[in-house]
Amino acid sequence: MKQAVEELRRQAAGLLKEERVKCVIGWTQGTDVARAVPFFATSVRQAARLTWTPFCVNNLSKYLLNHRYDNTPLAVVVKGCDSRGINRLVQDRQFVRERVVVLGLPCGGMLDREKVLRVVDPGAALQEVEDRGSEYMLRTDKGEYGFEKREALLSKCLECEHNIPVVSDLMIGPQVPSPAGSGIDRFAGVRELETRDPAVRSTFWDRHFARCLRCYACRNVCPACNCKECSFEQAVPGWQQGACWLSKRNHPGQNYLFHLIRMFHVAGRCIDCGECARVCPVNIPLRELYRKVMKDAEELFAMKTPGTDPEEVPLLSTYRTDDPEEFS
Amino acid sequence: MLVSRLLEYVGLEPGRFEMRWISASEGGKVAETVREMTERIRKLGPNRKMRDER
Repeated sequence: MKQAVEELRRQAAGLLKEERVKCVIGWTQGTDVARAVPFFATSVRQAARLTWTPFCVNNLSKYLLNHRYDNTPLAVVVKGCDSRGINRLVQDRQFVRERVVVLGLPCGGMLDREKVLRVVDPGAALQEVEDRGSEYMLRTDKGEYGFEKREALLSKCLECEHNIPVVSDLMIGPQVPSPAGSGIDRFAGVRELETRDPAVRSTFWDRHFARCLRCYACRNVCPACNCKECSFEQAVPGWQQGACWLSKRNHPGQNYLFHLIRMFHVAGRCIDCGECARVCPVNIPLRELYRKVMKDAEELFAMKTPGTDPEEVPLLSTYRTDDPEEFS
Repeated sequence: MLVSRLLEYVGLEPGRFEMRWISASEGGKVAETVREMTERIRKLGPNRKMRDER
């Protein structure tokens, strides 16, 4: 990955030097060995701090929304999954495609931070990462560590659909094979839950939603959630809240509705980047919820994962006369 | 279709949720559908999900 990092820094520095962009949104090394954090490089000097490691999990496409009302030319670094977010935001007319330089990175999968930190001292300094196809070699100042991809990658990466960005202006670094095994069932988790008894499913989601803190981190990180004013943040006086769809109260029944309403707001727009589940402080398996609609849409209406194709029309904005129906 | 599948996925009993397309001129059909559905739901008992106890 060393080669890709160098190329990334060089390209970013070039873009900033020529003033083609005002800011390059990328990642930099975080406070411990297994953490990379979003980084906004605005000068050539800062561009040298950009990095690319198997810990660059954040989907940076969301940050483009910070500039949707100005005309700042930007560059953003994306992995395959994040690149679907670019297509989606352009389709939602959140910004014009020409204003953004997309730097695409072919991705060999992201390592699960928890699993890495079980082995590696968090205080170690990451020196070099080598992608050997089926494993990652991490070279730190406290020794070398090998991680088998099948064991240590995030589950979303083992189900990866596009490891090469679907949209980019500049492809950076060498092509790498997809971390997903061949013939893998992307929706295995959803299918597993579907086969359970309704009562079991009911308890499963009851338990998860009851723990929800209503912190809205899932919404804030979501590139599909790009409304200027969110339906969950309407300023309604307390005595009127009963008349609303849902109050801000943290209550199991209300949390249920919150998640189902959000689910339908992102249906056909969720790009399956898995950020919601990652940022959830109480680890609600939100991906399994959003992927249910994605799976049904694929099976019933042959819809691709949203954001795959810049020309596509979102699921709930289109119809065909031969769509299946169950109305009687 | 997506809604009913999702509601069953999150644990609503199959049959509790139903959508029908009935014209305003089909009064008899409305009554019959509602009667049918009421019977079915009575068998399922009161809904425990997404309740808002105050």
